[in-house]
Amino acid sequence: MSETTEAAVETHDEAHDDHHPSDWEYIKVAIILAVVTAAEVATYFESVFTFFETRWILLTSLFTMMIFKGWLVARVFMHLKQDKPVLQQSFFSGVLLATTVYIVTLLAFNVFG
Amino acid sequence: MATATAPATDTHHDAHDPHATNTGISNNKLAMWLFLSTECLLFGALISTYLIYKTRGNGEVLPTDLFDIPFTSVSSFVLLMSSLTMVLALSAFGRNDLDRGKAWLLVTAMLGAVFMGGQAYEFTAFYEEGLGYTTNPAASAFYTLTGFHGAHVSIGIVMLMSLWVAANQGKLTGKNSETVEIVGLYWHFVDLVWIFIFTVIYLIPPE
Repeated sequence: MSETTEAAVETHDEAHDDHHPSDWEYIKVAIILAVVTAAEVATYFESVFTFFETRWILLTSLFTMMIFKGWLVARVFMHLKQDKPVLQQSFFSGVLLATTVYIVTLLAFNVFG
Repeated sequence: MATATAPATDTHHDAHDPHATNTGISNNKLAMWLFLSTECLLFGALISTYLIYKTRGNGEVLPTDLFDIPFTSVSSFVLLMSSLTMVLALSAFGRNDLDRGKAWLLVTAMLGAVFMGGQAYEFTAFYEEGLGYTTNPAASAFYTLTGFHGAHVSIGIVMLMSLWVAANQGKLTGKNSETVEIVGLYWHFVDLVWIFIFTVIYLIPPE
């Protein structure tokens, strides 16, 4: 194998090593997801964390944790972090469109009081 | 180039041929992402409908009266962990470690089946408490939303088992691991939707 070819193959392999996280990184993300889920469920037991009795604190905490979990799954498990930006753009355009359309719908139905 | 290296490199290039598109992404993968993008609108509609109708009980029992949060939390955890086993399957196929890849695929399908078992139990318990599909608008919206999600999980299980059978028949190897990646995208999306449903429908208490 010529030196140039060897270098090319090595670069290709390195690119593949970068392409997806290692198994251990996936496990670490899963542990984070499990901990955040446990924190979400803890908000249900108001006797444990009395400050969650204040509704806006509860809603802000739950939505923050939900978005963080969704972001982690999409970015790491679905590989949006490594894949081409066009995939991220096509997916998030759907998410953005859905969010906008249905928030407007819910406002129209006075769901938020 | 040594003879031993040549076939390996050929296989490597074969695996990359599907990426020879204008976007640099295989058409199948792009199609799956676009499909998932449209699925956001479907689930957005179902979640919004539930939020609009969730208090309309017509004097009957509401889904929120019957939620068993500890039980649903365990189901959610199971589905979340199935996303981990799915990426581990993809990672194993990527390394051409077929035995481990097949095992993780099977574990993922099993975890999906456990989640579905939990949903069947929940629906049965709710029905026995007097909450049928047509009991009130809140019940209809709840069953439609969670039922659609359950249908997606079931389709995912069928796809996972199809991959497992194909791998056992030698039709799925590290060379065409992109098929596992595409099914994985669908599976993670189903998990992603449940993350939203679990918070918005189950955890946010009624005012």
